[in-house]
Amino acid sequence: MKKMKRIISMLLLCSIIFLQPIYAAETPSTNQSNIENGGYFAEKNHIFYYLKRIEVEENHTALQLYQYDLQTQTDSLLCEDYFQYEPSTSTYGMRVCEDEYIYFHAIKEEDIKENEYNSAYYRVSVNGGKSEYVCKSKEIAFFSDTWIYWTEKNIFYNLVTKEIVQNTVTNSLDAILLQENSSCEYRDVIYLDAHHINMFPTTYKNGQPLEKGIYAFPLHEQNAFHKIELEEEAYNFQVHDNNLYYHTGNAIKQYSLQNHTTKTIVETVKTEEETIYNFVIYNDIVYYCHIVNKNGKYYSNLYSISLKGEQNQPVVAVPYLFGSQTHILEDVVCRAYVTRGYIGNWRIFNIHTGKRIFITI
Amino acid sequence: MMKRLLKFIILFYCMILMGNIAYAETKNVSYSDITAYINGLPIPSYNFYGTTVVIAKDLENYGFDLNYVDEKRCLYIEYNPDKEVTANYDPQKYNKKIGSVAFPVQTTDIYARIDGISTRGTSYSVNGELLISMNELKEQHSCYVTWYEKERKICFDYVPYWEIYPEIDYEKEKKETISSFVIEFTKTEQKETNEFGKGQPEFQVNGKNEQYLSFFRIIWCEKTPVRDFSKNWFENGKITIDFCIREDTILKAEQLIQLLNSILTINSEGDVIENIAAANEHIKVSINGESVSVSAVELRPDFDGYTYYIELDKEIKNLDEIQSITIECK
Repeated sequence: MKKMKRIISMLLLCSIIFLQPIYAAETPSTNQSNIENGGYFAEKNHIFYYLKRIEVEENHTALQLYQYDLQTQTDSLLCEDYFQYEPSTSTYGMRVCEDEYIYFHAIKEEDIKENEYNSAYYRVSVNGGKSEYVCKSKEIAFFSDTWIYWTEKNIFYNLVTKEIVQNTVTNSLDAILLQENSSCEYRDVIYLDAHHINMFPTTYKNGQPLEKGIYAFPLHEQNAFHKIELEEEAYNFQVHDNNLYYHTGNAIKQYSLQNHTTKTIVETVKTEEETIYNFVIYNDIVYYCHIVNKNGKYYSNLYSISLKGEQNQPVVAVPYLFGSQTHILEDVVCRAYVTRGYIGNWRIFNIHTGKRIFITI
Repeated sequence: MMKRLLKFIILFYCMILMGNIAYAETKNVSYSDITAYINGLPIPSYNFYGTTVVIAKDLENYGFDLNYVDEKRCLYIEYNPDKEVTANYDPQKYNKKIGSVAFPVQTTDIYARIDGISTRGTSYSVNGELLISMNELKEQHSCYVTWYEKERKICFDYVPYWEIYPEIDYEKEKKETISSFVIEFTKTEQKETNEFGKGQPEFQVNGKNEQYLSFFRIIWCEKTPVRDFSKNWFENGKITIDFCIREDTILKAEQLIQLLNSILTINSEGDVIENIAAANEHIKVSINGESVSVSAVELRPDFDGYTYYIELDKEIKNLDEIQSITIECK
């Protein structure tokens, strides 16, 4: 009996040990698309996090961190601290990380010194409480919900294990520009877009600029740093299930990191009038925004296509997308209209039902 | 001595004369490979510093009213769709060398006002007749100027249309949740004058839940190649009803929105779907007491709300023919 108990407990322990890393590895980088577009919101475990503008007193409004339970459709205050957005960017770079903290950059009202608006990263526990100062907002960039990059020291830092890895391959990367492209981490390998934008190519330690393209940067085997040879230029990309998915404007392709083969997941007509402009993968489903011109009118929808099984066809997930700013999160798609740096009101739709969710931001 | 003095006087007079000519600035207008059209009829046109221009006087033969008021040094130009067109210009008959000088023009203090809007920049005239840029003719009500690069042509088109903007009391309470609406228009004896001084029939409005339907209007626009979705959503010359369920009433009108969304005949991808029977089951329209069927329903949501376009299988060119309209959706 004792032996039996031991065997069962061993089996349980093994299953915990083996299942846990797989779960962690396959958990999608839930905020990838969100971060590339400014990170106004974050979502994890069906909880939607956002900064809500509230009136503190007459002629004084501020932002407070709220959460909205997408299942019970209720919202609640998570942190009582007051924030202001950064006037220069008006974005928050918000994401929920594996260390159970919500990270965002903003200006904390109690930290405002005279004529000095210090924007910084703050974090709040998913269980709520006071906000904690992390660092200046220009100092770090998130590659995933686990790995961050610290510009000043040119190091990578694991939020869960606290492991520090020195970058021995390239010069310091620009944290701000890193946020704006689709560089990401998957199974301790950083996938880096060498040209954040054309003007700022990434350079090797010796100062030599890297060719334009996507590079694999294994954090623990930095000698294996190499360029991934794709068939076409990738507008943005994401790594999932040992494949690198990228879009070319009119197609979404799957490049196997194991076999180096390329498969087309979605292909649309290649015209100036028709384009795929955003995509993200959650739970083996690719979600993408597609706009088409028919008889002079533009029709924009969010489509979904399963990666499981063969010959899947895309279906409309959320019809009638409008606005110019898009965040595709795990359960919701958020849209806003941006004009001259000003972001208007957000409209939030359930990604699974297409229905509008009324959240007062 | 006398001869010398005479020579000097003549030379002096010539110098003054030349000076005066130089003061009234002269420029050249040239022939162009671009053909200008007014409602499909070619009109003599020229190139003036990269702009296609016509002589104002010529516009009279193409349905424009011209009225010169000397005290104001102003030429009033207005398109009159009821005016007889007498133009008979055939560009084929004239052998013009493209790029060569057509005639010189002089600056003038006379300016033009096209449908009440003053032309911009310096005015030029030839033999006392003003030059008008084709582009400036688009200031006219319901008129369009379109440039076709491939065909090397610039076209002025007047598009006949009418619209009924009912005076709905949007201040009426919107407390109840709604799933239907009725709206009735009855022509009154009065005529309201629009911004162009032309009389338009006035309609009395009655209804149920009509206050939830913002920007409600009934519109007809002739089928033309000119594209203006604000007037002609379906581009087929039929009567269209459109309205918006605005953000602040979306939750109250949720059931109505669901109903309307279930009878759309064009989906979010722009494809036609078989739903006409359902549309006609839920939307009943009558004009002058006669039933009119619905031929298309489309939705365009945006940040303001949900805008619905309902096309009727009916073409009525003259608003005077309409005495009453009833629209019921349930």
